[in-house]
Amino acid sequence: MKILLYGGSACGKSTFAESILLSMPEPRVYFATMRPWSKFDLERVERHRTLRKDKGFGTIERYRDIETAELGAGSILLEDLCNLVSNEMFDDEGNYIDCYEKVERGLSSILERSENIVLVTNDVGADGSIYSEYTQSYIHTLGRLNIFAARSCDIVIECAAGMPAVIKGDISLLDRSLSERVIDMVRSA
Amino acid sequence: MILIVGSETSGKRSYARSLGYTDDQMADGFIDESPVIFNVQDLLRADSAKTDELFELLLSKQVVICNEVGSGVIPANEADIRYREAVGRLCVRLAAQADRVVRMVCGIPVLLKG
Repeated sequence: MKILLYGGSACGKSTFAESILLSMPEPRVYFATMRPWSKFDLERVERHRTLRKDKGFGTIERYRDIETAELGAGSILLEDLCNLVSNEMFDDEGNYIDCYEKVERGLSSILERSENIVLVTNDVGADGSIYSEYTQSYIHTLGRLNIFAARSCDIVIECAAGMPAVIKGDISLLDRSLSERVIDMVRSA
Repeated sequence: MILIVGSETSGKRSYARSLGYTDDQMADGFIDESPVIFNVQDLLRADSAKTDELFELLLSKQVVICNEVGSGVIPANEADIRYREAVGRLCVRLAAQADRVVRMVCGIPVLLKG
């Protein structure tokens, strides 16, 4: 089962993604794409590592070049596409790279190699602002990758205020307890 | 009239193509004889006060495509605030008159009306 979770910042998609991962077969792996830049980032990463260890999740940390990542066997939660695209868009010298094809290849390889996976991504294109050329390119690239990921996944869920809305797929295919929880949440909304 | 809304690069024009319209039939943010207009939000960026005039003109279109622009941080600049609100209000009025309203999410059409 391949699932895409989409929504704005802090809409509850990460928490929801973790509950989906917990409903998938073990072993469970958290695939982190954030590149820590500051002491604050490192502290956050450390906190998340501890939280996930308690849940029995293994960790893969790869902020670029996901195509060659070793996955092993197991269910994966990849978080998230927005960090991945921003890391791929500039090299270490700060040069801009048109990264769509590369990230699509990487995603495609990860999706092919994993039977059960949850992908997390953001909606970054709905604030009406006009940004620099690079930021506009970032919004465009992430939008195209979201379309690619949605096409490649069995289920697409949009989260708002922690509530899931099913955009594509049949959630009854999910683990029974989880699909009932989603149905309850949708009903109570 | 069919109203298609969604984020930047969410598959709005691809959806219009799936209805049988070609790129030649789609006008990019200007009013002409084309049956389809996209980037309607750009028409309001230049002058957010012309909503009424635009509304009437857009009703005669077969397909109207507009970006959702009202999420994220509310801008500090008054003109930007007016622009975002004008786009939002125009879409509300268009949706009320539309036969069908579709919101694109990651390339997937979500039917809101019709």
